[in-house]
Amino acid sequence: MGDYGIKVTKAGEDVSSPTPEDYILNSKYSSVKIQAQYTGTLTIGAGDTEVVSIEHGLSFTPLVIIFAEPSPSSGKWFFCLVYNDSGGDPDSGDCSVDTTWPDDIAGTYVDPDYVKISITNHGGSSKDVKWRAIVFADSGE
Amino acid sequence: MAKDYGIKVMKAGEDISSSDIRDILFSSKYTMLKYHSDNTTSIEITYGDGSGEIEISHDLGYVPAYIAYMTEGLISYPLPSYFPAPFPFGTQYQQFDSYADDENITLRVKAEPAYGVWNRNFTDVYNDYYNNNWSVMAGNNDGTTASGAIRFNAVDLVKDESITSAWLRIYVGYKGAGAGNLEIQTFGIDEDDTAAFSGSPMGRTSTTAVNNQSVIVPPTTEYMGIDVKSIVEEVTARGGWSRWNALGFKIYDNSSPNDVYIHDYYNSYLEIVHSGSTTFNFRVIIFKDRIDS
Repeated sequence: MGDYGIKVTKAGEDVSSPTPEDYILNSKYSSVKIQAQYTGTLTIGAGDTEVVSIEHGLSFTPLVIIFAEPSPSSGKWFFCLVYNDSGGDPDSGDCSVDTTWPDDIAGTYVDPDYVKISITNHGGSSKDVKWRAIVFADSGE
Repeated sequence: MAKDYGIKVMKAGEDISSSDIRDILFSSKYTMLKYHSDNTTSIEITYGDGSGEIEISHDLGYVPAYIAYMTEGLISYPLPSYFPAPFPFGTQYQQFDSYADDENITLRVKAEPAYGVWNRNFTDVYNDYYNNNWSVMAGNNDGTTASGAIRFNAVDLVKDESITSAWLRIYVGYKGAGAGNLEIQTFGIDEDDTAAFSGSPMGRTSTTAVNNQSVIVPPTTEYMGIDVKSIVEEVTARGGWSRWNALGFKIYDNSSPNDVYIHDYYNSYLEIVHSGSTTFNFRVIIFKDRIDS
């Protein structure tokens, strides 16, 4: 049986290397493919929570990573993942991405149809919060 | 007619015409995150500090996508991560997060209470004004001298341990209406493992170390601090001291003005900051893909 495929190694590494990290590209290993990147700005009133709903159209639950700028115009983009109120500093009145919720009505999650991003404004005035979701064409189930 | 060209590599056994995007190993139709750098770093937090951060420069000039982990040996925790208790010395939670800007990736750690800080509410109290074991009191209550004592069991200090600080935090549940400073003297109870209070402990042997204090009593619901570092060090240097023994303190009035006193039933505590530090290690993979545009 033939052994064929495509391999591109890092500079200085041999194409026969058995180490996956030595490869820039190797058809033996699946790569995460970006299906689409979604961006937007949520205007959130003082003390309110707003949810952005992205219809990704994949019909399966994809891998997703989410970034947000919870303190508007700060230039600080937080990686948002698994714990409640991630990103920013709620004590200082920043906004935060809500990634744990007592039920599945709200919160930040992905399913076969949507990516939902829930953001709460802990401050005393309306804020415009930028967000970005990178949706991969690979299953996150 | 639009041309359809590019590179597409399918998983083994899958047809190149498959409509299931998951069957594709890679395709020139889809962008992939492009590696920029792989970084390791650490944050050392001195005991007594509740937070720390460190920056990793990426030199990209825009805000890049990235993934960050906190690493412990072979275990990696993706950031943000939140860890509830238990931790040494009473830290109740620690959390890690990260953000990117156009110059750096910043990693942050936060703990509450601060790392290396041990505190405990009192287990026993005494006041000689009412001659009971319901509350601690010190000062002058409407012309009558008031002194008291307070005890903490299961103290997390080993024998001869060097500490950064030790404070009695006396809660101002009640205070006198008089003017002027509260004048008090605080001694330790010079015993290896002072027993629970039953009646007055004021006759127990005092430490050589003493804190003489002249202070304005804070408003009610706030705390007044008494520095007991040298007292604690004297007791824990005793031959019979061992970890989890009990510490006691006696607070004497030292000619406070009329009706200047402090009085608490519930909330006073002992706070010890250990000497040392803790280090957290991180790995951050930065991509060349921009997220702020």
